[in-house]
Amino acid sequence: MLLNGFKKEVFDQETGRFDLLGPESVRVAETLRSLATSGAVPGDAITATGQDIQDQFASGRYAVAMAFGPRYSAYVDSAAGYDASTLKVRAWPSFDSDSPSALLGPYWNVGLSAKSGNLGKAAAFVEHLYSKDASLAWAKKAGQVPDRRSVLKDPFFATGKGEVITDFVKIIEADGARVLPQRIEDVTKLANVLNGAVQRLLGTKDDITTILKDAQSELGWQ
Amino acid sequence: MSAVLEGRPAQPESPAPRRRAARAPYLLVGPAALLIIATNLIPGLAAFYTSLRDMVFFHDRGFVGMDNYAELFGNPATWKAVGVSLQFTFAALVLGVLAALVTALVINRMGGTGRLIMTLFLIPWAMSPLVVAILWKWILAPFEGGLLVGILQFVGLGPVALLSDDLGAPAALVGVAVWRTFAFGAILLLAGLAQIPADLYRAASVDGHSAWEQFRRITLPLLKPSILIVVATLTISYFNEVQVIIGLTEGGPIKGTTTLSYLLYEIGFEESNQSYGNAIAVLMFVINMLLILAYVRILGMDRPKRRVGAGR
Repeated sequence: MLLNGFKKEVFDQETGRFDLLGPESVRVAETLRSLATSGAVPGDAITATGQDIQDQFASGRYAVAMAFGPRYSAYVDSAAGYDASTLKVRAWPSFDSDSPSALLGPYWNVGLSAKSGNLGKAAAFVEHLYSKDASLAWAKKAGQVPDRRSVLKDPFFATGKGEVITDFVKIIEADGARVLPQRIEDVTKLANVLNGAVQRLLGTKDDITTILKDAQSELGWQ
Repeated sequence: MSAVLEGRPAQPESPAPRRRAARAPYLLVGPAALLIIATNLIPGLAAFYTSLRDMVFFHDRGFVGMDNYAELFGNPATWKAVGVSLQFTFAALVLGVLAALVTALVINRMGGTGRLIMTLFLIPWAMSPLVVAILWKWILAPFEGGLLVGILQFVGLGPVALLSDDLGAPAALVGVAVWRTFAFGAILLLAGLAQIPADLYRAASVDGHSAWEQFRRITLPLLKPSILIVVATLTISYFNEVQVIIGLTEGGPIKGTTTLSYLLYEIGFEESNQSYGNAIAVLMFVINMLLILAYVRILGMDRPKRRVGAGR
């Protein structure tokens, strides 16, 4: 995720691979290590899951947490450690000369089976997902950015819960959005290997290049 | 023995009842055997078949022979996981069996109150292991709100991040696994203690044997079969433990609690690498079978059955 702070050329757009020993990867690794050594990230984060950190953010232990848009309103509701009105979304930090900007996560795909016995109804359902009514309902119930931007005129988006979506759209419109490559090979294995590397970066004094080389070897990316 | 033999039903005289009698054991065992074949044997064979293929996220890329096994045995992570599994299993086993034995001995002397306490001890065993893990994660949380932090603060000490410590994380896992299972072992041992005739203790007291001698010469030898059952059951339980690890440490820190079963979960389920995951499952099956065979041998269950009345 942190590599998204560089220009998209860091990733091979065909395979989603990146150079684990390249200057960008080393910079990310150094940043992670400095977060640990400076005390910005507590030592126990080494075994904390994303859910743990989100829970601890809600209780006020972490000042910043990465969250998917749909869950943001849930965090605001459960954040006992903060005045909910002070919680804001912010743009994804940048390592390069670009401004910080929104980071779009994995995409949700909707498809119709050609063999569907109810193709007409299925198509109508998909059409409905992109209707104004559905866009507004998804925004209200799940904090989703509406596909139909005209929906943003609804009074809901001026309220506390809707305002965050408005802020998010402003970030996208101001500076564009960073996106993950469309395809990443063995993405689940990549996540596990990189998690292991992050644990070593946070919890040991092992040489950064050695850690990255080990991750590269584990992934078979030589 | 003769009284028992006299009470046996008479052997059927005609061929038809004899055939029915001969079929009876198969009819009784048959449904259970079919269930085991359907839920264990067939999935087991399917797992072995899958381990010989290259299958990721249900996309079968064909037969690869023993490639997955070659990769598995050539991967240092496998051997580290085997080591972590064995350390976890035997550390938990020693503590678990000891805790079960002490609990059973104490509860056995307490009567009605003991039974009530035993019921309370059994609650963790009845809980979902994942719920137990999450509960302990909050107990051990090294920040405000964690029970351990509160206790340490009370005695003037600072917080300890056990779950992210090299030694603390495996120790915590062993502690939680023992806490969850020792009462199950104690129940089995209590049943064994109930089988020991009280006369033996009375006779030993009359002979002037101390409590320790009575434990060593009467309780321990007569409880041995029950202890071996507890040892066998808990070994297999600890070796296959995964839910507590998922909930408590996710195999960390830095693979320090990645047992073979967690490695299987990580590769087979998280990474959706079904073929490699099944190769790990087959390896675990072999280790489990070796453990079971070892315990069956120790328990003496492989001895040929003696026919009723054969010794007369």
